[in-house]
Amino acid sequence: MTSADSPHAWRTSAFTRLIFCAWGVVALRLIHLQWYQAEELARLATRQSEVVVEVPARPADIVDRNGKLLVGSVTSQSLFVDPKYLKVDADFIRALAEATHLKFEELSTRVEEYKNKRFMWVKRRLSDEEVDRVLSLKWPKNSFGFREEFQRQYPQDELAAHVLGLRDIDGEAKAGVELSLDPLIKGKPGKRKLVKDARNRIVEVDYSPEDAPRQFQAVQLTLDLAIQLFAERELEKLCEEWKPSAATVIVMEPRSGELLALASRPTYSPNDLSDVPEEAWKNQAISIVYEPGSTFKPFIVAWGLQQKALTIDDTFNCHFGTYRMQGGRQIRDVGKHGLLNVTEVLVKSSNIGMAQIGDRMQNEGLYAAVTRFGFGRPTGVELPGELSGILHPLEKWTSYSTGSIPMGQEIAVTPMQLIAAHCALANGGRLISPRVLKGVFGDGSTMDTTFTVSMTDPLLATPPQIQTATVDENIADWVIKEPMAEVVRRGTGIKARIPGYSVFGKTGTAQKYDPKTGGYSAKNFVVSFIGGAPVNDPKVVVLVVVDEPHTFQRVLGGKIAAPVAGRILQRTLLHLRVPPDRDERSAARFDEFDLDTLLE
Amino acid sequence: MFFRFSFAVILIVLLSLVGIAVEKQNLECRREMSRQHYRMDVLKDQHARLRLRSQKLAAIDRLVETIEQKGSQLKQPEKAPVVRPQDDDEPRRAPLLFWNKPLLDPRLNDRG
Repeated sequence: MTSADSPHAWRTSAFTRLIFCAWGVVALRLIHLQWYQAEELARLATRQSEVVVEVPARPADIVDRNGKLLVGSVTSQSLFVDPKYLKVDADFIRALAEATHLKFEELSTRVEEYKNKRFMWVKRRLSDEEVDRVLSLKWPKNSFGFREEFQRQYPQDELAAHVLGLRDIDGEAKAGVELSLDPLIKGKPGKRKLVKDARNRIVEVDYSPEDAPRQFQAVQLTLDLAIQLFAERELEKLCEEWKPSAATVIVMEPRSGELLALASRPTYSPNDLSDVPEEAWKNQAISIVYEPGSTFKPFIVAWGLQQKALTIDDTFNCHFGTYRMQGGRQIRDVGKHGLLNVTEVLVKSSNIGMAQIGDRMQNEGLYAAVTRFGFGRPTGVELPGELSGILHPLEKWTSYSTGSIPMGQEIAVTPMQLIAAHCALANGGRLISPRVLKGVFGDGSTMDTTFTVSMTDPLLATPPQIQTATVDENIADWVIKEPMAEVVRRGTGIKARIPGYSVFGKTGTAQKYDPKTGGYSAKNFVVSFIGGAPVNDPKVVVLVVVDEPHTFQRVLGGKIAAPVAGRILQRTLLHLRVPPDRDERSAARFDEFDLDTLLE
Repeated sequence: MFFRFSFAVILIVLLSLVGIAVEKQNLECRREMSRQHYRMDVLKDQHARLRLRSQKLAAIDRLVETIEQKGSQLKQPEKAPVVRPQDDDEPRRAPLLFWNKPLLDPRLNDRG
């Protein structure tokens, strides 16, 4: 009997075919899964197992010109809870409040408010100690979490607070270079792929280089921390002595337009932003405008010489203190002077002499002088909130303007505009936009910036800088070396003299507008001094502006601002190792001059 | 027939085991990379913290106060600066300043 004849043969055959069919079905299903549904299923699996999270870029450090750290970033943990899962009672909230140094009442009120929501910040940026305390609490599962955030810290505390600016709790730039250079500082966030298992545990973190965050390592400013400290300390002393409503100091390198220091009062500490007065947020160097007074006179003289409206040998009859202009306006001087040459007009700060120069130049010439030196428009410094000043259109100028503009009235400027314009005189006639950004360090070459990038230079970025010609070099040099040097040698700026160096400068005392009377106030002044050194090759220019110093004396820039500027100049020149250019013995013959005697 | 079948099965099993071992090694390498990246992040943050701390401790405001409290002062050089030869491209600068009084740091005295 053959197997085919066996009674079980058909059963075996049927079973075999059934098995083959079953395998066939499985094979077909596999083909269906692997061929037709593969993409969709792979996508579904990826969605279930992979999570892509954003990795924030570490904000770039900010350093001074010597690499001293001004602003740095550290990571800190912020605590959030899911109130739905949080079965809270008073004891737990009390423990949480103690761990995070929050007030119990406030926290319990917030938890009550958020009880129907799925997310609530408990506290942002906890200290390490607070994080440890929070972790030691017995939390319900899935009810809380920490989010890593970058926190900006300011190791130099108040120094250069107005230049640096700050970021809010969410890391958004709000002021200073933090805001203006935000594209360089903030960087670009990256991505990170996390692979999770079925129990939602992270089993793999995929760090692909192309998805890494991009940022510069550091942004370098032109500020010099030592000079900044000199300026801040002198300004602090000035504020203690004269109690002004506001004051500012700017120190600038005239050839490059680089800001070496910028201090503003009132100020604040970026490390402690509780209880900051409203006025303290304002950067007085760029966000206030004032009538410059006598510090404006050198520009008119320089432009008059440039336009050949006057020569250095011209003399002006100052009529012993009272003069009536061509339009009928009466001008008065503080001192009674007779014939004065151009140098003496500036040294004695004669309003009558300047009014006569204004008569020669007429409004068109004066307007050209004002605009040529950059007034009426922002200087372009990389700081946000810079004002343009107030410059009325020429059509609105009257015969009154012909007398006012030459003595620094009817025009309002920012301290930054004024120092930029004086730097133009100090550097031979080139008006340069001041700059605070020196460059950037680090691997950020793939970032989109408006700056030119050179990989061979450690300073990768050089911001564009505007330069405009103002007056001829010989005219600018003459204004610096003659009248402005004489102002400090024997004029109203005598208190800015410093041993070993020749100094040039100009004082300014401007009456403030009084809204009550609609005229100039008799008691509120803005006093200022602008000066630089050494005269033959100016390395530094300093501007000190003091708004409403509290005094019953007749306030003058030479008395309040000049000594401060002198001390800052002295320390800055020593710090920069600029060689002395003046013989002390020859300087001694000027010692008999005294400011109070001069002003009588 | 049996040997051929057994050999094929053993070969498949061996290949599978090798594949699994390679996959495990690959996974371990990737985990190690993840750990290294994590360590790098932690070190970067530690570096930032330490740098901030060192800069806070060496803040110019603190140093100047310490120096001034000890009575030292910046002094101008007594001698005129040495004039460099004309072919030297470096700009002329004043010599470094020096302190009127030596800094009295007890740690320096401890060195013996």
